[in-house]
Parts: sequence; structure tokens; C-alpha cells
Amino acid sequence: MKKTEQHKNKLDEIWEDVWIHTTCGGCYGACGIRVHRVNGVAIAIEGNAESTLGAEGGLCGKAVATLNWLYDPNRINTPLKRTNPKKGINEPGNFVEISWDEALDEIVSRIKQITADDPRKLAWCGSPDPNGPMMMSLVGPWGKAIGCVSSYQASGAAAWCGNGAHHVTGQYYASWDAGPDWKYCNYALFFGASQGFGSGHAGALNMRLAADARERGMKFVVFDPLCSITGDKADEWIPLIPGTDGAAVIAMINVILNELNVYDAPYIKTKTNGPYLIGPDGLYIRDIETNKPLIWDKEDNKAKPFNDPSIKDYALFGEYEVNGIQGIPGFELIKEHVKQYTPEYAEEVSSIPASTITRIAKEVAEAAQIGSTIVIDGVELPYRPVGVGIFRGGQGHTNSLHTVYAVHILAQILGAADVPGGTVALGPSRCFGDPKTGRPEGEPIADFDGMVTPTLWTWIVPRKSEDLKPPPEPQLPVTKTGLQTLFTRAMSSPFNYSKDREELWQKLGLEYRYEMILNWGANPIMSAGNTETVEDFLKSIPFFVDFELWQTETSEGFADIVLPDGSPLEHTANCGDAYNLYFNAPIGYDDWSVHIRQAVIEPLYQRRSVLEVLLDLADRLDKRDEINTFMNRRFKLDDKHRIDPGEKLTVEEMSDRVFRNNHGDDKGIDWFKEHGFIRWPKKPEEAYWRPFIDARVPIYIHELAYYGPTIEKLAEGAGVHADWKQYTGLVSWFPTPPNKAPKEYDLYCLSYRDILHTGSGTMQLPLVDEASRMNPYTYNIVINTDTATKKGIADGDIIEIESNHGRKVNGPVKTTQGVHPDVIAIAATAGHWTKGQPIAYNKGVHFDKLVELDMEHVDPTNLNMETSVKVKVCKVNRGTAQ
Amino acid sequence: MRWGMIIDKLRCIQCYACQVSCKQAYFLPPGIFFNRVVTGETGRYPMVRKHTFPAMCNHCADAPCVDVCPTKASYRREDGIVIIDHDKCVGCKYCIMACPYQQRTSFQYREQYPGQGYTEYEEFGMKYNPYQEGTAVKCNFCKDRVDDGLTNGLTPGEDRAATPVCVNACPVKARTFGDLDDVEGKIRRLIRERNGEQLHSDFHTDPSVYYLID
Repeated sequence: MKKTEQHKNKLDEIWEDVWIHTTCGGCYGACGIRVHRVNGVAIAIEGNAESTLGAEGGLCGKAVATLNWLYDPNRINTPLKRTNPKKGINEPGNFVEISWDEALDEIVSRIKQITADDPRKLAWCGSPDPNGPMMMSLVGPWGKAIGCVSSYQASGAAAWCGNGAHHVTGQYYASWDAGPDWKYCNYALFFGASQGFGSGHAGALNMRLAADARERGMKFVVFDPLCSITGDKADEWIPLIPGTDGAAVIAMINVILNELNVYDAPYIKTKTNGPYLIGPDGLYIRDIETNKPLIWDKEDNKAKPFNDPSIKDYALFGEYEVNGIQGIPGFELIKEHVKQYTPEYAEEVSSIPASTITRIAKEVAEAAQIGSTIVIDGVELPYRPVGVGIFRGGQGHTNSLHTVYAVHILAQILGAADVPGGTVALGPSRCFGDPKTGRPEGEPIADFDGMVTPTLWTWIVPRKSEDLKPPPEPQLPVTKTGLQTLFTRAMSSPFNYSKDREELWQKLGLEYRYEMILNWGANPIMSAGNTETVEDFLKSIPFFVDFELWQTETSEGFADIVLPDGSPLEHTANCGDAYNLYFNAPIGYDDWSVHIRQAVIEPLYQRRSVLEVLLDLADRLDKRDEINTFMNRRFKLDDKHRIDPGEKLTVEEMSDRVFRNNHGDDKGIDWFKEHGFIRWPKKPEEAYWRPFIDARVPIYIHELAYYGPTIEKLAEGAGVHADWKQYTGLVSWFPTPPNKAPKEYDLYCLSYRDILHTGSGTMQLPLVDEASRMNPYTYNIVINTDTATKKGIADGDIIEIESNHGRKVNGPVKTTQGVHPDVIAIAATAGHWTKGQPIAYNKGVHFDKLVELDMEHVDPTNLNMETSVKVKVCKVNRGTAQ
Repeated sequence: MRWGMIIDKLRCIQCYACQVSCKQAYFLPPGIFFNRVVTGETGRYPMVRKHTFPAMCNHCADAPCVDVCPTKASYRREDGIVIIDHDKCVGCKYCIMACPYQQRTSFQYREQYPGQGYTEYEEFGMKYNPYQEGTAVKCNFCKDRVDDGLTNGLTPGEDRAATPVCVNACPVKARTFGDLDDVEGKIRRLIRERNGEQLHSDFHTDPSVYYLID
């Protein structure tokens, strides 16, 4: 840039002025970015204007601010070893610098010792954010190769993730998450979600598309206790009591099915298990010969396997005797079952006026335009311009799974899924690949019962229905610390951190305890459950290794060795999910864009990318060949590009193989380094795959009815109790513990994703911190103005929040009209106390101190933690808002 | 020719990208902003509206800051951009008091990490984009980008290289840059179609920045 009289450039010479293509690591959205480097100093970040993976040139504020990762004087620059033998929240590590060799030798020796004894005692955990894309691909093979069979997500079932959302969108959309098809959607409903207004899946590209939709006139309705920026952008913000989303949604389903008698019958017949005959035991009635679930053919007046080519018409109603058993189509059962969820009942539970629920239901039913079609680039497709979104807020409760099912069943009965304007995958479900090579490719397939199964981003190879193995049956003793071998519907589990974990492990026969954990980028003491019980767990781990950018509360208090990781701007680690086949991809009818992530400066000091360190460790353990085998399988490398035994590739060299395998030998890593990304047009049959794939979704939740009795029997036999009623195939609403708490605790407290922050890692970015201090809500406890007035509380007062379990936090108040009168809200993962992050230090309020984590406070089906708390508040003193 | 900007509140999602990108582009230390996101709310529960005003120098046609400058350091270019000649500015701060939109600041270097010294990035910025401490600073509509772009045959507001950083940075394309004198241009068209409003038109300063409210 030429300087004029205002700012005279005083550099002696400009010997370098370049823009470097990479992807953002500010959240796992991994938007395409360019970084400006002058004379070796990275000075600016902007979005990639030509790519669809992002905001076509724009970028969110926190993404731009991640430049500071490179120059933060608080970064860890050498391996560190703990000298304070005591561990705990307030215990300093008293770390001393050691060499990489010393650090890795000790780690290797521990790994050898533990895996020789019982490999299950070694676990890894991490966050998808800072090391993001490649990590998700490499770490699985790495763990398998070295014999580390235990892994868990630090916060997967806790305050910041979507244990229920991922499970259901995997089953319904063959994707990791789902949201409205903004390009064609005319009416969008959100339940505690922030797609398009925060971080996460398909981050900035959702922002861009959602803004276009709003300007186009799409009606946007947001159900949320808090009017965050998502609610503010809505045409209607509908506040409700936390944990009651399911009641409101099922009431809407009731109005649509039973009052309006609206549903997409052809879709329900051919794309769902609505016509499957359900017996009195709640299970499919199966064909004696083929064991396939049966439907009733209305014309031939007989039962047939669901995939019988001679089926003329599916019965959705009626009672039929088959094999001596009375069977009713799942759809009729659902339609009858939801009648108990009247709008008046939902009002009593959720505080949403019954008239509002009825009106929204009617608007949605009408907006769906059932039966209409649209022609897109010559392809005629069903047109259902109604979309839904639900994520952490709506599903972070003990009724997690049923609530997510309810929201997506609403979309399914309207036939508004993976068709123009409906709800679509936020990660890709179907891809025909680069037109030149046909790679990477994959599409949903049907399992034995005909249900949608994702393949594109999963490990499933080969991709034939008949090769799919049935899911594991629940069993005892449990072999996973998270109890998932019993609770098989739990994708992620918070149970390492629970208050009652030792009691549960003993009752359920867990034969080992972790002796070593490798952690990258996760800060579980702040984000994974109640702080006290997480502390208790972390103290019990004899050897804890942490790859970090800065000291975190977890590393400071509990790590034995801390290793200096490279930030996302110091990685060249680009294969696997840099393809964004996992968390996100250009959604709807946006072109495909596939990016590279590359270092914008080489790692300074002794920092090393965790990815390279993992390969180094594998070499030291002599496990390279095993990794090569897994990577070949993971990336489906052909004979020409596969990694041979004995080859010791760097991550960059592995990426080169993947790029060339998928895009041709002229497009290796050097091509990607220069050009940044490859883009090609998406076909309507990829974006809107539903009509082209013969697979169904379980609107009758058969798996819950099927596994429930076994799980209940095994658990009760071991003396473990839970609300087993949730194991029903019929979508229902169940009150949460806070819904049932004593009246004295008159407020709900919840945490929410502020648009400025992702997890806890963004709190140490100066430009984000400055913006957060300017924002009246981010660092303060938000309370309804009228509620505050009644309690004598005003802006700037310090209040103490006390849960009905006696847990307390305090912080300054900001009153607002934009929150339910019975709710107070705390933003982000704030309230850091480590001195290793002086920018983040003591900013905001740490919500997780308030939560309970035990069997009573998880969803008994998917083990998702309850993330709202019943509290009372009192003014401590007059203070000043942060 | 009169450069102007539109900020669409319907599209804005309060992500602070404009504020952060601008600070990064101009190496602005803590506490100094050329772009500043101002928030508030109106209404009563549940009919509440949050308001996000990304505020910046309005490059007023009748700019009080220019009128009061004793050294003529502040001036309005022919293309409407109001700028400051820092060699002429004596730091009297009259303009800072005169600006009704509170968009001017007296420049001071401050560490991004207080008490930890300047980082390599900050030290680079002091040479690459130096300031004179004590002089007044504010948004300059990225005049260097505009000027260089025009020299290279580009169109500000159309070509990214010639367009202000905050416009490029916005993930929801809430900002539009262009010529207010072009009555058929996209800026004037948007102002007509969406009833674009100037901030505090009652100040009679005729800002070049318009907001689309609904």
C-alpha cells in the first residue's frame, strides 16, 4: 500500500509483500482466508472473496483478531515440566523448561509402560478448534496405531457442543449438523441455535446466506430465552423457559397434524419410517423370511417388507394383523401421541402463549407449500421453503435427544428436508467429487432397516448397505469411562467429570481407570462440567500431557508436561477435514470449495504443530506403518498415492498425497499453497439429494424403543437408576431437573454463545477483548430489567448467583428487556483465572461453576448434560459493569 | 464525485468485523477506533430491539471539525473525504470537541498486552504505518486504497483493492461504498429504496454515511 502524507512509511525497504491462502482456526468453521505478510510479519487477515467456504471476502471479528496468536508474548515457546507435585485449581505448576527430546522420551516411556499393561488406561481428548481440521483425521489413526483406544471429547456433551443435534442430524440429514437452506427458504425456525450469527458449523458462510435471506424477506422466528443477536435479527423473538423447546415444538406438530391435517404424505411414505408397522412392544413388525420391517400395502391389502418393489401404496393409518401381531403404522402412532401436547399445555410448560404456538404452526404449515415443485438448473425438485435449526441452547438439557428429534420431525412431516428451501446438511451428505477425478465422493446409504446412513465424511468403507454392521448392543460391564458401552445412544459423554463417576464405574464394572491423558486445545476445567468435579477427576490422572498455545486453567493446575503447539496460523497440515467434509462445507446450492491450511509464518521458538509431534511420537513408538495403513483408508488413497509401509511422510507430504489423489497430480500441495483452494459447481442432485436417495429417516424413534428395555434392565440390575421413560419411540417432552426445582430458586441461569467468542480460546485475543468490553452484555450477567427492578438490582451492581445445589458465582449486572423475566444469562466461557492469559484474566463470569453433573442431570438416552441451572440471586454490593 | 457509505442494520449481526479489521489495517492501539460498534436496545419485553450502529467518521459535507481547525490540518477533499494532515496538526483537540459524532481521538501508542512491551507486530506497525502522538486521528475512508485504486483503473466500491477495509471485511455485506453524486448509482438507489438515514440529520452536517434501518 502506498503511503501518503498521513502515514509515512518508515521502513528502510519492503522486501516482501504477499498474501497467503489458508483457512481460519478461530472456530471449527474453517472459513477460507488470506493473510497479508510484509517483510516476514503477518499484519492482516481477510476472507477469501472467490471462495464459497466463508463470507465471500468478509469474515467475523474474532477470525480477524486471531492474528494475535502469532505475537502474543504469553505464548508457550518451549516444552515445560511441572515441578509442583500437587495438582488443583489453584495450584501453580511451577513449570521448568525442558527439551523436546526430554519431553517426548518421558511421554514415550509412559505410553509404552501403560499400553503394555492395559491400553485402555491411556486416553486422548481435545477441542476441535485450535488444531481443527487435520486433527480430526489424524488423531483417530494415531490413537489406533499406538494402541490408545480411549478417547473422549472434553465438552462434547456439556456446555458447548451438540450431542443430541449431531446424533439426529446424522440420522436425518447424513450430516454433522443441519440448518435452513437460506437461498430458497421463506420461513425459518430456530431453537437455541446460532448458525449464521456466531461461530461453528459453516460459520461465516451461514452469516452471508442468512443475511441474504433476511433481505429477501424470509420470515425468521427464534425461540430462545435470550434475545441474543440471533433473536434480535428475527422477525419474531419468542422467549421461553429453558428446556421446554420440545414441548412447544411437539404442540406445533400436534396443531399441524391434528388441527390442520397437513403433512407431506408421499414424503412420509417413501422417505420416513412413518408407514412401518409397529407392534404392541413398540418395535417394528418384521418379515419372517427377510427380517425386514413391514409396511401395509393399502391396495394389495397385505403386509410387505418396506423395500418390496411391488408396493403400490403405503398405509399411514389403520390397525393390521400380521403374523398374529396387531400393528399400527408409526405415523398414526405419532399423530395420536402428540394430541396430548395441546398449545395450552405447552403454554403452561414453556410460558409461550398458546395462541402464538398455534399461529406459528399454521404459518409454518402454509409456508411449506406441500406439493409444490421448483426447477433448478433443469432439475425439477420438491419445493418446501421452511427450515429449522436447533443446537446447543435447545438441546443442552436432560431431554436433549427428544427435543432435537421433535424439531427435525417438524421438518420431516412437511417433507422439508434436503430439498430447496427446507432444512439441509451443514456438512456435505452427497458429493460427486471434483469433476476431473470424481473424488472425494460419497452419498447417504440405507441400513438394513432402510434408514439413512452417512458415508461421505465417515470411515464407512465400502459403502454398500449389505456391508453395514448393526450398531453394538448395550452391554455390561462397561468398557468406556463415558459409559457408552451401556448407553449406546450417547455419542459423546460427560461422565469422566461427573460427581458420581466412581460409584457408576464400580456398579457398572469398569475394570480400569485412566493413568495418562493427552490433551490438545481443550480446557475442560472451564468447559466440561462442574468445576469442582472436573477438578476431582483431573487430580486423579497420574500423568497429563497438554498441547497448548498458552497456559490454561487446565494445564496450569493439572498438566505434568505442557508442549508448545503451533497456532492454526503456524500449521501446514492440510488434508482431511481441511476438505471440510466433516463439520461444514458450502451449504445448499453453493459451489464446492476445497481449501488448504498453511503456515503464514514458520513456527517461532520451539513451537511445533501437534500434528507433527504426533507423527514424531509414532516414530519413537515404531508405529508409523500402522498410521500409514489407517491414513490410506481414511482418505481412500488409490494405489498410486497410497502411503507405503516404511514411508515416513510429514503432514505436509501426506496432504500432498491426498490433494493429488483427489484432484489430479497437477494439483498437489504446491498448487494449493499458491492458489489456496479449488472450486467447482455443485449439482442440484448433490445439494438436494433427498429425492434421489432411497433411504428413510426414523420419525418413529425405533432405536429408543429397541435399546431401552435392555439398557434399563442392565442398569437397574447394577443399581443405576434413570428416567427410563425417555426410551420411547414416540417423540415426547420430559421436564428437566431445573423445571422441577424448588420455587425459592426463582430464576434459570444459562450460558450462551456470544458472537465474539468461541469456547474459551478467544478470550485472550486483545481485539476481541476490547470489543467485549465495549459490548454491554458480553462480560456482564444479563437479567431482565423488570425482574432486576423488583429485586432492587441495577446496572453495574454485583450479584451473587446461588444454585439450588448451593453453588455460587458472582459478577456485574447488565439489565435488558431482551431476556425472559425468569432467566439470567452468562456469555461464553469466561472468568479465566490463570495468570498465563492476562488479557482473558478475570473477564466475565465462569458459568460452569454452577452446573451439576451426575446421573440425575444428564439425558438418560444420550447422556447430554443439563446446561441450565435453577438459581436465586442477591445483590452483593454496588459495582461497576465491566 | 462524493464518496459515501451505506450501513445496512438489517444485515448487520454485531460481529465487530468492521471494528477489528479497521484496527488491524491501521495498526490502531487499544482505545483508538476509526470504526466503533455502538450497541443499545429499545422497546419493552418481549417487543425488544437491539440496535447496532457501527459508527465512524461521517465525512460530513459541512464538517464542524474542518471549520474549527486553526491550522487547516483538517480539510475536505474534492471527493468529499475529510482527512487530517498530521504535519499541520498541532494537537489542540478542538476538532475532537467539535465533532458531534465523537469520532476523533488524540493518538497515543499503547501496548496491546499492557506491561508486556510492544510485540513484533506492533513495532512493525510503528514503522509501516506510523502516527504522530498527540495529533487527532479518525477514519479516512481508506483514501489510500481509493486513490491507488483509481490510479490503477479500479472502481472503489466494486473492486476490493480500491474499497475500504471495513466494507470488504463485513461477512454479511452490510456495507456499501460508492459515489453519492451518482443519482443512479447503487448508493443513491439503496438510500431511496430503503429510506436511508443519516445519523442526527438535525445537526445539519450532511453526513456521507447513511444507515438502512429496516
